[in-house]
Amino acid sequence: MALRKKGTLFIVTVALALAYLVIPYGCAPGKPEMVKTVAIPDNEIDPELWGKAYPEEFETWKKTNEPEPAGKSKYKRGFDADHLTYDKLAEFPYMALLFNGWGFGVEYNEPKGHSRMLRDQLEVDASRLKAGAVCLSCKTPYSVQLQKQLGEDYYKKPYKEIIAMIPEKNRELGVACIDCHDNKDMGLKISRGFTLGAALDAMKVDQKTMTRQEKRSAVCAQCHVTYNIPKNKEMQSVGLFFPWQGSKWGAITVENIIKVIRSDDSYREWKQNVTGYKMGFIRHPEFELFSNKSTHWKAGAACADCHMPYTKQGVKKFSDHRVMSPLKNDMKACMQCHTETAAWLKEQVTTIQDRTASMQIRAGYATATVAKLIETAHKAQAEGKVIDKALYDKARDYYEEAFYRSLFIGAENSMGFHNPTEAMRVLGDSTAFASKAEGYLRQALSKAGVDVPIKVDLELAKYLDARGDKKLMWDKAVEFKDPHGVQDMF
Amino acid sequence: MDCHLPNENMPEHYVWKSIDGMKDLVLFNAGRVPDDIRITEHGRKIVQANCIRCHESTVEMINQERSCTDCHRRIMHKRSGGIETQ
Repeated sequence: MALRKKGTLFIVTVALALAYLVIPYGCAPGKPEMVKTVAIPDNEIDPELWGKAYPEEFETWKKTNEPEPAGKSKYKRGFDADHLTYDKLAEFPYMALLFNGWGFGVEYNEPKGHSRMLRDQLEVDASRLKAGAVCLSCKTPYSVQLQKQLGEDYYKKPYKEIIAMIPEKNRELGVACIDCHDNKDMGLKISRGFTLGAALDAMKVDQKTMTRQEKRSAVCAQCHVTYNIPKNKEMQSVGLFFPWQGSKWGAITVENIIKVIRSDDSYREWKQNVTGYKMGFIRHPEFELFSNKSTHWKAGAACADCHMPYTKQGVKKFSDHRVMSPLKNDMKACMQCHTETAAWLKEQVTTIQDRTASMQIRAGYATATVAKLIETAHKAQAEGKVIDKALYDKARDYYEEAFYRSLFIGAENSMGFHNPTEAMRVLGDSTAFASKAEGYLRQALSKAGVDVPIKVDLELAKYLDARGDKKLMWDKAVEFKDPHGVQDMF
Repeated sequence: MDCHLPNENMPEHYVWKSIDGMKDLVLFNAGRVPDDIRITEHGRKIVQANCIRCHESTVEMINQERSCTDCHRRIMHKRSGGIETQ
């Protein structure tokens, strides 16, 4: 009897123990799941529909249409509440001299952000759209299907003709959901297979094995990169590619980019007036500069961490789709990881930018001076004087190296912050190449009996006044002077 | 306990509690606690799971593979003193 009682007690105890272990978990509420309001069909471009499924992201995305607070960023004032459009050529007058010969030398403004990008294109001087419909590649979400549909014609045909193929309602639509997202699960997806996809293939990067954190940069790298537009003999655009051949993920170097651009004459997209050289070009290499072993890249940060910081609405955390500079957001993104105050952090950023600006100005004017001396050499040649070929060839080679380097940082939109040490290295090299080239030219010119003054006159007004159909003038008030004042000594 | 031990179920919790506890006991008494204490790969997974356990609805929309402490650095013992006071 006592034995049976003991046995029952044992069974009851075990049962109770099991119940104690199992019940709390068995009865736990299910994991929270997202409410699915609508299904987004494949290839749906209209953001309104996506917005129904992801209202928080959609609402913040819509805010990219609103101007950003004025006076927060020293070097980027493109889309501020003061509604001023800043002329980059007047901010950095040496650029007007160097870019004279095509659209960039006519009207080159500070960018105004995702929502405005197509409208900006319609407003800018028509010479900027001469390359053709290829200019739509990053400006409209429709470019992917247009490229697929039209093939080479897509690059070549006139801009106005192809933009008319976009449904009228969305003809001014900038970056949309489909550019970065998968309609099925909101995951990140590269939509520009014909540009970034090909560039990743060239570096042997497998898109399928990319982590979500890598994709949080890769989707931005679809457009915030430099690109080249190969031309045929009639100077029509026949393609579009990123010059990343020979580089690696996380180490796309300016040396490799320049090597690719100089490797084939079909990549020389324009003719520089002052030197008469056909040249390639470098545009906004934000991803290249940032991902080339910068401190923040090595720390595992992605573009979205700083430009789309996590924000909260209700209980949910999501990334703020009002993409903008952390400077204009009162350093909120920085303070997520850094413990210092906003004022302290901002001073650090401005210090880096001031130093970069100083060196960018140095490299820019050094390169512009060489361009002017090449012009002088050509004039002397036309007058029948003999210019030493070996010296001239070396000068031309170094001039191109200097030009692309100063262009690389000048076109990059962070004034060095994305990778301060690399920016300084590139600008230092630019200045070194330019100084050497200047030396060779001075030597060649003096051999030919041409007297070169100590200070070469750049004739900047010639390049800055009465530009394009709008007759744009040189507004000296917006110029960025060397913050360290050293340029005055040159 | 809340952060460094698995809290999915009790047997797992107690198994790891004894393993970690024994490890601490041996290392401490043998005088082999390193100056630079680093979390193990296993430990990192446990901490991450515990972050998500409490903040489940907050992180529902965002990347959960990424270590929370990459950004929320002050949570770590070592860096808890790294707060700028001004």
